[in-house]
This record gives sequence, C-alpha cells and structure tokens, in this order.
Amino acid sequence: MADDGAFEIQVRQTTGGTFQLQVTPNMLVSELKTKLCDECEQTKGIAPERQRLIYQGHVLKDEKSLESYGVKPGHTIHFVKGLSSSPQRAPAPSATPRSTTANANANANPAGGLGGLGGLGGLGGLGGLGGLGGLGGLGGLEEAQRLANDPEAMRGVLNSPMMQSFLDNPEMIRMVLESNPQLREAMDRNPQLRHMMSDPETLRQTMEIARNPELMQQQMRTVDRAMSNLETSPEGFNALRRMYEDFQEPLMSAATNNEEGATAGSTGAAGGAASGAPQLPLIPSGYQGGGLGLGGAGLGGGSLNTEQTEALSRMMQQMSNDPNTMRRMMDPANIRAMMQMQEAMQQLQSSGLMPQMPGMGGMGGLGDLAASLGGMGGAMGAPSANPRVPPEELYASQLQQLEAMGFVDQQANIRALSQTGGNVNAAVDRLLSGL
Amino acid sequence: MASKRIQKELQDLQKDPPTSCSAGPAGEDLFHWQATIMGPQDSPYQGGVFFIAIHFPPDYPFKPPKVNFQTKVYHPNVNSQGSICLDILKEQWSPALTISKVLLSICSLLTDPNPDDPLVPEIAHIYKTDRQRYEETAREWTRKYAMS
Repeated sequence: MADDGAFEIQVRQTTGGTFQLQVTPNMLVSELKTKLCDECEQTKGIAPERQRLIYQGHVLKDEKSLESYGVKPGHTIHFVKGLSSSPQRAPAPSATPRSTTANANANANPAGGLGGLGGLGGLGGLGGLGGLGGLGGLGGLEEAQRLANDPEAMRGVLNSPMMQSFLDNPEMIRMVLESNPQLREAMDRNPQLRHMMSDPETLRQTMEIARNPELMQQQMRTVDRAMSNLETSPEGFNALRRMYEDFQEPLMSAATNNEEGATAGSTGAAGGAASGAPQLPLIPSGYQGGGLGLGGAGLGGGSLNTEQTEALSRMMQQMSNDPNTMRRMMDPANIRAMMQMQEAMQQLQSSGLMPQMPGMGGMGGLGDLAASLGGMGGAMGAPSANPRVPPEELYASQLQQLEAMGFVDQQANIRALSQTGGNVNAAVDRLLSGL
Repeated sequence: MASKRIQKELQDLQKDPPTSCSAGPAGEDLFHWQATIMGPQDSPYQGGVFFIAIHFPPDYPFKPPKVNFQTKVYHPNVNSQGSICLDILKEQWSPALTISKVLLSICSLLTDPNPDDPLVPEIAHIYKTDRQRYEETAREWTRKYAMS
C-alpha cells in the first residue's frame, strides 16, 4: 500500500460521526464509494448511488480521482446519504452558541484592528533600523566594542527574522523613513544616506560587516586611528569638543525635558548620553568626539551597557504595551537635536576638518538615524534576552491580533511571535508555513 | 493580509470542517469559494446539500464576504436570487468571524428562520401562520433542488 502513496483521510457524516479511512491519491471517487459501502462499518450497505461525497464545497464526481480534487493526508471529506427515509436522528450540534460568540466578538472595531496592525508594522521596521543603531556604535566606544565582542548578541540581533524580513523589504524601510519629516529632510540633504537606506543590498553588506566581529573590530580600529589623527590637530580637537558641548548637552536636555523622564524616548536618549559622559576623564576626548561624530554611537551602541540593560528591558516592556512611547521616541525635539549633530558633521566635513575620514559623512548620517532609533533597536532586541517577562504578557496585543485573524492555537502563536520578535506579519507567515 | 487569512481558514477547513458545512476555492482564485451546507437534521432541509458561493473582498477580514445560495431554498430569509438576510454578513460583521462560523450561522438560520426580519415576506407570513404548509413546501423544494 505504501508504494502507491496511501494515506489516511477522515470521513465526516452529517450525523456528526467521523472515521479514518485509508486511500490512495489515484483512487477514483467511485472506488472510494464502493469501499465505503463494502468495508466501512459506519457506512456499510449504503449503495454508492446513494452516497454523496463533498470536499471543500464540491460534490465529488465518480469518474475523477481524489488527487484531482487535491485531497491530502488528514483532510476531511463529508459523507451525505442521499434520498432516504432514515428515521429522525438526534439533532446535529446546534451552531447557535458559536454564532453568539461570534456576535459578541463583532463589537471589536475593525478599523482599530487595522490601525494596530499598521502600528506594529512600523514597530517591526523601526526595530530593524535599531539594529543599525548598533552599527552606529562602530565609532570605537567601549560599548560598541562590547557589542562586537559578544558576537552571539550581535548575531542574534542581526539574524533575527524581524531584521531579515525588514532588510528584505525596501518598501518598509522607505515607509519608516518617509513617515518622519525630519528624517526625510535629512535624506533629502544627504542623497547618499537615502541611497544607503533604500538599497537593501547596501544595508545587507553593512550588516555583513557588523555580523563579523573581526571585520567590525578592524573597522573600529581604523576609526580610532582616524580619531587620534584628528585629535593631534588642535583645531580638530576643539571642534570635537565644541560639538560635544553644543550638541550632546542640548540633546540630553531635550531628552530629559520630555514630559516624563521615564518615557522610552528619554530613557533611550539620556541613557545613550550617559554612556558617553562618565568616560570623559577616562579616554581621550577624541574618542568622545568620535562617538558623537559618528552620530549617537553612544545612543546606539550603548544599549548593551550593563547599567542600562535594566532600563532598556523596562523600556521594552513599555514599548510593547504602549504605542505612545514610540511616538515619544520620534519626538521632534529629540530628532531636531540629532539633526543638529548631523549638520555639525556636515560642517566639519565641508570645512575640510575631516578630510582624512572619507567614510565619516555617510557613517555620521547613518549614526544620526541610529541615534534616534538605536534605543529602539536595543529595546526591540531586548525581549528575547529578557526571560523575566512571560511571552503571553510581552506579546499580549500581538496575540490578540493573531486570534482575531483566526489563529487560535495560543502556544503556536507565542512560539511564532517569539521567533519573530513580535512581528505579527512574520508570525503569520511562520504559522501558515507550519513552522 | 487577506490571502494569508483566507489560506489559514482553508487550512482549518480542510483538516477539521464543521459537521454540516464544507468550503474551499471554486477554482484557481483564492478569493472565490464554493461551499456546501448539509441541511440540518431537525429541519425540513434535512438530506439536502445546498451550494453557496462566497466572494471575499480584497480587504477581508475587515469587510464581510459576499455569501449567496446557489441552490433554490424555500426560506423566509433567502430570496430567489439566493441573497441571505443575516446580520453578521452586514452590519454585525466582525474580523473575528470566519467562513466556518458564517456557514454555521446559516445552518442555524435554516433550522430557526427569522420571520420578523424577512427577505421574502410571503414565506415569512406562511411560516408564522401555517407552519405545516411551510415545512411541506420547504421539504418539497429540498427534494427537488438539493438532493440530486
């Protein structure tokens, strides 16, 4: 039997009973009917002429094979007994209770559901960009090095399905970038940045560097050397210091002036700033400037600083529960401060102060973006590394959405969500492909 | 999103459909389905197999599917065009509903017509005033149109 690809299907009777039956793909419907009449206890003696078999809304025709209807292992065929004077059976299980439930659910606002989905898409996208925040940290800061020295963490972030799907979707990247006027402006000013951000290939290459610890460390050493070169020039040193005072401080105050000190936005920004500040006396200011010049390396790369891990995981929880935090992170005040940094970068470049660092401009631009989003990246990356929060809580809203879409197996939903970092779309893909 | 959701529903229906309903794509087009409802045992539609056409809107599940009988049915809430008067197919639709639930609701509508919100007032009148005549006619139509 196994040679001809035999498999089991289920036959469901209108009276409610279901039984298993072994069939082969090329079995004709007429043969199946004969088998049902002759071999199956439940349907024994019901002449093939009186049988009606229904699969996926179609009455099966005698002369066709099961294969032609696409019947697969485990699928269910309905069995209807034609024209008979069978005695009244017990009523089929009434559908009424179920439709009542359905009606109760009908109160869910469809538009709300849509909005939620959209918001999540945005979150996923930004999370991906947050990974770039880590890249922004290439600037030779200790945190970045720590990140680089922990290839597992880095790879975890970069190889997460969310990140992958984000990188594979230039449309999404563009949407995320275009949805913020400040970022759009930055991109308009810096076409190189736009190109970089909208070309998934470039992004992937950049990711490749970040994914490879050796390459990344080498990259950082190069930047370090460039920084010390810059530092030896007195004007360069001053420019870097001025940049620190003029831009990092306003950034910090912009962040802390945000309505609540504890909001995700300020935690991210202030946390990043703090990660830079204490090092001031410890390392040459060139490095500080480097951190800044690379546009919020502290903000992006700092997310792995042990001190802030706590704050970040808190922030993460907030983020997953509250779309508002997202908006706060994108607060124009914060963005503007970062734009200023970007401008400073350009100024430095155009005044020829940084001629020995051709890559800086682009990196600064990238880091600039990372600064605003890096905190989020850390935040989005955090849940998998944060076993304290049960996934049911962490993905409560996503779980609700999946359920609303008809995915009722909560365990499978949780699994899919944790594998995709809470991205509903990706989770649906996984669920559908049966992973 | 719509096609993923429809695929998911199809998967569920292939594996574990309700006792009295079956549904799947009519052809290649995933947004056009054919369904069958087996007449409920405790109704004059018993023994009948009723065909139903389902059209999914592009923004399904945020908009309800269009559901029509293709088999003639003698019922106060189903007209000669096959249109069905059912609240969940209109203002009471919810994205949480599925084709499976819709079909089950139609089954229960067959068992329990709603003569106070009729699509065919004449049948509703007969249902209310002469139940036996209604049942006989419904049985007759079922034999004639839904059993061949």
